[in-house]
Amino acid sequence: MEPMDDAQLEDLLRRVRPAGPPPGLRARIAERRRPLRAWPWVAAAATLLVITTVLQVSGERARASFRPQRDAAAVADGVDGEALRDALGLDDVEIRAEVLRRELSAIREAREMERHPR
Amino acid sequence: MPPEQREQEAGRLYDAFGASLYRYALMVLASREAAEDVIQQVFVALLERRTGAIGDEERYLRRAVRNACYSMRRHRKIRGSPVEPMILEDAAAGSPAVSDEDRLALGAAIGRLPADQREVIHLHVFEGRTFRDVAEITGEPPNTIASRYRYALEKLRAALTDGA
Repeated sequence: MEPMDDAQLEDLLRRVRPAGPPPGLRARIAERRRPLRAWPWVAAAATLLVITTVLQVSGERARASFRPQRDAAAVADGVDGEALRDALGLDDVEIRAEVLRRELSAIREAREMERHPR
Repeated sequence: MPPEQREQEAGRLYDAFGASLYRYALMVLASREAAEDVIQQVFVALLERRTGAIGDEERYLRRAVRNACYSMRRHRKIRGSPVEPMILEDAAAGSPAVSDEDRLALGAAIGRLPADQREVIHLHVFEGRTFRDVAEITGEPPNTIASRYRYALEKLRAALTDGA
C-alpha cells in the first residue's frame, strides 16, 4: 500500500467497519435461555438420584455388617454326619433332625441379631 | 417483569444495540467466537434480570459488554492466543468502496494492535465518539486515549506501508 498520512489513514478507516454478528446469534440467545430454565430441575433430579443411591448402598452395607457370619446353610454344611453318628450313636433320621435343629437355631439367632444389633 | 415481557425487552435491546455491541466486542477481543460468547452472555443475563427497568440502556449494555470482554480476556487468556485478522466490511453504502486487498491488509493490521488500541480505534473512528466520550467509557484520562489513538495510527501506518 502507498505511504499514507494520518488523514488518509483515518479516511480509509472510516470507509470500513468490523463485520456484524452472524444472523443466528439473536436466535441462539433466545434458545440458550430455555435450557437454563430446565437446568435446576435436571440438577435437582440428579441430586435426588445420587442421594437415593447412596442411602440404599449405605443401608445394604449396614445390614451386611450386622448379619451373623454363620447362616443356616453354613451350619448345615458344617455338620459332620459321621462324627455325630460315631459320638452320639445317631441314625440317619436323627442326624437329619439334628441338622434341621441347628439350622433353625441359626435362623433364630440371625433374626435376633437383626432385631437387636449389637 | 414477567418472563415473556423480559424476552420482548431483551429482543428490542438486541435489535437496537446488538450489532454495534458485537462489533465493539469483536474489536476488543479480535475473535469472532469470543465476541459471540460475550454478546450471548450479556443478553442472556439480561433475560434473567429480575430487577426493574434500565436507565441509560446503551451505557448499561456497553459497560456490561466491556466488563465481559475484559473478564474473558483475563480468564481465557485470549492475550496469548493467535490473533484473528479483523473481518471488515464497507461502512456505508454511500462511501467509496475499499478494495478487497486493502480491506484484508487493514484487517490484518488492526488484528495485530493491542486490545486497548483497537478499542480506541473502534470507539473513535468506527463509532465516531470524541476522546472525552471514549475516556468516559474506558475510565482513562482523555490524554491517554489521544496518545493511544496516535500510537495505533502509527502502528497501522507502519504495518500497511511495510506490508507487514
